[in-house]
Amino acid sequence: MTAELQTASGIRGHILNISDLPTELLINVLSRVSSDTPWRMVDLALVCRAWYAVTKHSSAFWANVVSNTWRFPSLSIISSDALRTRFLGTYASALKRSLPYYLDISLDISQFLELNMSGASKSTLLWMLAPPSKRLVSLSLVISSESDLQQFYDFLSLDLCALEELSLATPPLTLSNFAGAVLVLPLPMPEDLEYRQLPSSALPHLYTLRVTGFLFGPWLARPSLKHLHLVGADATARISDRVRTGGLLLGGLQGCPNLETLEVVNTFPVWTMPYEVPVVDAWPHSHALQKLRSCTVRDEPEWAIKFVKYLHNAPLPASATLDVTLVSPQSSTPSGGPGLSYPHKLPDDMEILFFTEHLCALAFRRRGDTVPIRMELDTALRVYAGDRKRVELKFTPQLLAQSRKRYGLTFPETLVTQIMANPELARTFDDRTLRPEIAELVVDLGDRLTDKLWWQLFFRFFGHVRRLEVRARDALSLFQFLSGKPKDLSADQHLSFLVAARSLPSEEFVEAFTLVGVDFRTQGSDEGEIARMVVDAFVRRKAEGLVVPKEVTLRYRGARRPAFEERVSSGLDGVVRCVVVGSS
Amino acid sequence: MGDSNRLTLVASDGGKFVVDKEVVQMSVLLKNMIEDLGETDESIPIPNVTSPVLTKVIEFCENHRTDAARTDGPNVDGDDARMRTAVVSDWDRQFFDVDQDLMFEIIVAANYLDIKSLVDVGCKVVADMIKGKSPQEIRDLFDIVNDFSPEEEAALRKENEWANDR
Repeated sequence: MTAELQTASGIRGHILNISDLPTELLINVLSRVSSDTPWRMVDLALVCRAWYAVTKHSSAFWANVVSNTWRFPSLSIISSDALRTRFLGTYASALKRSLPYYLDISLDISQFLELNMSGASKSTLLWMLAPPSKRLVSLSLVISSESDLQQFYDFLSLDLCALEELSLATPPLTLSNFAGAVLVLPLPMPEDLEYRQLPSSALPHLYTLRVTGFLFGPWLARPSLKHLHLVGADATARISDRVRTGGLLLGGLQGCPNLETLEVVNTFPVWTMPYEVPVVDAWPHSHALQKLRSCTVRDEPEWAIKFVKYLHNAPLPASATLDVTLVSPQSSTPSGGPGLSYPHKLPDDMEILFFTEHLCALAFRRRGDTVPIRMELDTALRVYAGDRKRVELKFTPQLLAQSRKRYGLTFPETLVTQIMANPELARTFDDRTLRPEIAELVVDLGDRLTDKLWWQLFFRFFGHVRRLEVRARDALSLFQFLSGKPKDLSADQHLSFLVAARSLPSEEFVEAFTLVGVDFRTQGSDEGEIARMVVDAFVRRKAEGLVVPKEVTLRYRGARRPAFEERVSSGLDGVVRCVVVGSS
Repeated sequence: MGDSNRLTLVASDGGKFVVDKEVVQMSVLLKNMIEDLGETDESIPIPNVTSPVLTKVIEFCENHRTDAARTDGPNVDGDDARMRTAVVSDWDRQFFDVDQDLMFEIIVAANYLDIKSLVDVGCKVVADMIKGKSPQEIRDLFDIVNDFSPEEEAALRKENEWANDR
């Protein structure tokens, strides 16, 4: 029987039915006909000669089939020996027929296991991919967390010369995250496979690796890697998804000197083994991560800031962007065992210490730093060097709400409080020679009725910035602070407030000061009173010989008020060089 | 002087369609043409696509214009990965709830205009129509002529016997 592939009919003619489709589209359609019993694909050949030609002679069709269709062998196949055998035969045949096309394979082999004599689980399906190994461009495997890793080590040691992307993940639901179950993972031994490197010839062109944390270690580290994603469960932090030890994480990263992108999501290890201490100690001198351009960290605060410390010690290149997202602590971590364990805090004891000296240094001072810095502080902290974002630090909405509920503070308030609470950080921001050279700072306090005493801390740490823009619903409290006329304060508060108002900011002040948020719609104050307060804030400073900004911009909410603008402008004439007042 | 953000497409039957450049740039073919032409008020002829088909293609592009922005990101998987994970949304399924000849013409037009997402969705919709049907049911559905001789068909069935042996 002979049949030739139908040539493209072109599209000038009217397309009457599926038989008029060009061959490339017919292949595209037929290769997507998924089936629980993939060997039934051959039934497509019985429809007509054109379809027979595609299924019989088109390598592109079979390459598409193995790439698109057979991702999840069904349970009915897995549970029957006869069907398993047939599936494997069909799969091997399809792979063979796909020659010479490169392949993009995605397989869930987590259920497709066979126990060997020693009780270790092996996957026959995995080894179906050995004959076409040179044609694999992308390979994504879902594997059982109980898998014997030796088979993957052996498989990755094959000639996978074209493989550019590799993904190794565990199924979303395992015994380890059943409600109430606490999985205590066996801690690794020095001779374990994860510490061994693959042969130097293995995976020469692997650029992207995405892997569940607990599988990572030096065995998956390749010099060619540019993008590494270590991922764990997002909804609930599963200890079983984390990289097993600090030595496996740092040792693995040291084996990837050309990384440009690094993502570490809920996978920072809990333990470091005693025999791994030399690897950890060698980290700052290992020159790891020196080509990194983007680093994303997402984890509970405790683990995220520990990883930030390693990034600081690497040290992270000046041009690399660091994006840190802190998530709510979810679960307790098993402690004990032979490793060095970190203490873990339950949500009830949550102390969200997040702005450490290491993060501060990564945000504001990196080696060879000379560029001006812009800082934005609202529900997150963003730091820009020149026009490039250098650091973004934020909470998940859930953690933000928890923090607000627990401490009653907004993110900017919390950050400033953390600087105050850390003597080393406070000294850094206080000291003229140590403090970050922040050229521009934008702080948005949102709907918070800012504690007037908070401004004392704020100007203590940020009074030196050259351009300051403050946005708030209750922006008037700032002028109350500046003018030394706080209202609604107790006697003690008033005393300390006056001390603060007179001492800070003193010798220095911003060159350009912008305030957005005086709200005539809700404040209920008359504009004459507000204008007097604004003017008085700067006139008093000038009268007392203190520095005042050269430029003042005031943006108020509500309908335009020419009389108010005139009062402020004329009041500040001769006090500041440039005044802009307008409705926002 | 026309609006520089819009251009006119002319279908094979002369129908004119004024559309946002951003929308039609989902078509790789049109995107390249726009870049080659630069700022111009000239209409772009689409000689292989009729007005009813072009109407549907533009409808799809307008509905998916935000998808196009997302695929510009650096972490988007390659074409093959997108094919594999293509899920047909309710809107897309409704979009293809048309006569078969129009459905195939849309797919062919999308292929000509190089609109990958439309090709993928269209092929997936047709594949889902085929899934689970016998060869004869497929022939009936698409009005396909069985061009095998009885002997050839018998030989083929024997060849595929292993697959039917349950």
